[in-house]
Amino acid sequence: MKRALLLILLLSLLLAPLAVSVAQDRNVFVYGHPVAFPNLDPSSGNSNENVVMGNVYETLTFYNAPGSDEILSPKLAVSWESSEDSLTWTFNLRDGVTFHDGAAFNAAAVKKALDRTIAIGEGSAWIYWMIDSIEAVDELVVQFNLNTPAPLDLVLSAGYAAWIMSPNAADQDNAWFNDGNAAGTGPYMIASNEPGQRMVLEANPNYWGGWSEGQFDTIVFEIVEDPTVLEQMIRSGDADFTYSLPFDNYGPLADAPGLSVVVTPSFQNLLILLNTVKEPTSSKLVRQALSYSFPYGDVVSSLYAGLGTQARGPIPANMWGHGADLLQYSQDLDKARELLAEAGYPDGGFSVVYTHVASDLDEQQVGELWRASLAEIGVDLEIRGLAWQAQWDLAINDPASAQDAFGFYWWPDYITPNSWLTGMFVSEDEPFFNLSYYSNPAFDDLIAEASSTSGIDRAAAEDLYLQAQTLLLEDAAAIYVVDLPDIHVVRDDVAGYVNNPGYPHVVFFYDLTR
Amino acid sequence: MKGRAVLRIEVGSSAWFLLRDRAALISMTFLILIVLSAVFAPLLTPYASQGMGAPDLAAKFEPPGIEHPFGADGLGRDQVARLMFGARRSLSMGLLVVLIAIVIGAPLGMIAGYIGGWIDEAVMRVTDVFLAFPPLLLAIAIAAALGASYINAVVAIAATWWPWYARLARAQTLSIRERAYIEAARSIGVRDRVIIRRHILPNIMTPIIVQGALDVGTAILVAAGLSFIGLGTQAPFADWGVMISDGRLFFLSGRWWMSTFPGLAIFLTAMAFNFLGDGVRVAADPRLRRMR
Repeated sequence: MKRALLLILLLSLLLAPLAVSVAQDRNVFVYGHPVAFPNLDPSSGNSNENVVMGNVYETLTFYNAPGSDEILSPKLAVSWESSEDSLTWTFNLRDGVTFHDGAAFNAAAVKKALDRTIAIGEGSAWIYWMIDSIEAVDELVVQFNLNTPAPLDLVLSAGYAAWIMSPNAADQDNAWFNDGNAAGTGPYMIASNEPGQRMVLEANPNYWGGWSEGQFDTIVFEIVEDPTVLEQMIRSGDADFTYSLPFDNYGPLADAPGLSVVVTPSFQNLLILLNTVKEPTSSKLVRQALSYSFPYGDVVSSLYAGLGTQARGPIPANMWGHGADLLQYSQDLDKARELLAEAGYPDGGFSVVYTHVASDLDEQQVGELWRASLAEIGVDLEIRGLAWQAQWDLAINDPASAQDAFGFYWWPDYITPNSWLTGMFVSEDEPFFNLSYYSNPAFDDLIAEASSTSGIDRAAAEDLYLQAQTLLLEDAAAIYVVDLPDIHVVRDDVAGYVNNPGYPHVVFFYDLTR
Repeated sequence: MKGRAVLRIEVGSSAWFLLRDRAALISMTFLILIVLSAVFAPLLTPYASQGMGAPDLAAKFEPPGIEHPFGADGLGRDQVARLMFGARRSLSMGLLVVLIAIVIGAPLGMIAGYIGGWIDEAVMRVTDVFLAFPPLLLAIAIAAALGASYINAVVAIAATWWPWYARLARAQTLSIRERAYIEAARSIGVRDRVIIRRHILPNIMTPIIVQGALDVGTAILVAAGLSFIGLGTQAPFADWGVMISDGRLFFLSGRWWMSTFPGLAIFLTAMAFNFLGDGVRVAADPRLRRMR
């Protein structure tokens, strides 16, 4: 009797997942998401909640996936033009669009939404630094007056801080949005939100683009921080999409039945920022020696399973401003020894502290491989895994007692080379993201000139960016490790998925069918 | 003099009984082997540098075979060497935790039990505070506050462990305090400090040692738990908890050997300490011995 009961219990355990997947509605899409959504406010959110924002809200212009004919395509704006001097921009808005709360979409709404974002001034709102004023010229015409020439159409396609929310929502505070409220124009609306657990989106029946057969009615974000569980979910069919699994597992996953692994170049890269203030890395020669000691080949081919490429300077290869002829360091331990000797450390004999995010196995193993190379030139690497906030606090409190090497990922707010160069290397009075504490007036001048030129003459700006990077690479302010790919695992029966690295890990569910 | 002789006979016969307990004997042999392999790890494995973290990418994810009996990890490191060097940290964490807990807990418990009064109240209320929290959760909180490292993990776990020994020592002291020989010592003017050290301490050591032997296995498990969530041993070094944690990421993609062997090591070691502790308990107690 007992045995029979046990058998029934075991059988039901085995069959339970089956029953769930049979009952599953064919029109539900499940996104296994590795992190919670920290800030659902479309004005100030500049983190992983972008995967929600990109489906609930829309931008005026849309950044197309690299390889498309045009860089931008129309979204809430149908056409736009700039004055000769790039100081005045006029956008013609889409007619017949309504927000989720029923309010009409028009020029006044755009002005109110962007004014809110600029007034709050948090997150990625800095991208509007050149805007003097926004005017609702006509019901469906909005005009931007700039104080510096800039490519505003590109700025307004940003994946952060460029979302247009309804005028009623624009009156609300941050807490209202983080309670799970939203009112955008996008194809999906937030149906329910359990912070840190799950978010459910339902299709917006009045979406201006219309609906057709096979599109998804319901989107579920399951927030699961453990990559092993995410892998389990995507393998068993409990999730349709996920990312952030260990690089070494994508090979076996691509072979698994029912799964596709989509690999595309992204705008994200991994750098190791070197402390230019503190001994011994304050010496340029030591930093160059460290740059020559790094095992680039092993890291790219083995750690990243050949899916990334060795970085050449801070700007990834698929971004304009990347220089194919720039200095690229390679591992050369003899050269590293020579440089150390020249710097006054003939047999090494010092130790370097490298910090990384504790839960990031890739960053940790980057440290472990580097440590083995450094040992050969007599330098000891202390690897310290910290929570991101602790790692950052250590870096910004006092550069003189901060870590010597900071494992750091960068990706742009909107798609411009300026993001990397200004964000990480232009001098800062108080350290924020310039965690090399790099300070070079010649570099700063070149970047300032390039960013005001980029709105008018991209070729001239590109030349200035290359000159600036030449200085930066000579100074070895960072070790440029790898240009990372986006790697997404998608169930085979989902059609229409294209990755757009301009909106990191955002799935535009409206484009998908099953 | 006579007391010493009796004690020696007692210890001798306890050891004899321990050796006749088959589970304890097997456990002890296993633990001695594990300890020896940890202590002499550099001599026993050709991959000593890999045990201490040096990568060998040519052997990345090599499955168990002749070259690497337990396979190799994501950086190609021999898992046998990793386990041996990991044992140094895992075992020492377990032993240190129990040792620190006894060194802090036992004296406090003895003092509280012997002197009583407000000192007893104070010590016991402090232990109450510590015991009010789930031990693992408290250890995680302390370790997170101190920062992730091997030593901090030991301190954090020991901080949750000593109250048990304080209570045990106090309870034993309370019963011994009323014995005639303590009364006699006190009546001829022996100072409290000497009474505690010479008359109480030797008499409460047996239950404390038994409890300690039983606890080492659990302490190793808790230490592995802290390392598993990243609060213990830091890369490039590893203990068994770190090895399970790293390996679990690759379990579904077919690299089962990465977590399996460290998992077995922890399982067997914790079990061995339990059998051994049980054996010591039986051997040390003449009444239980007779029942066998």
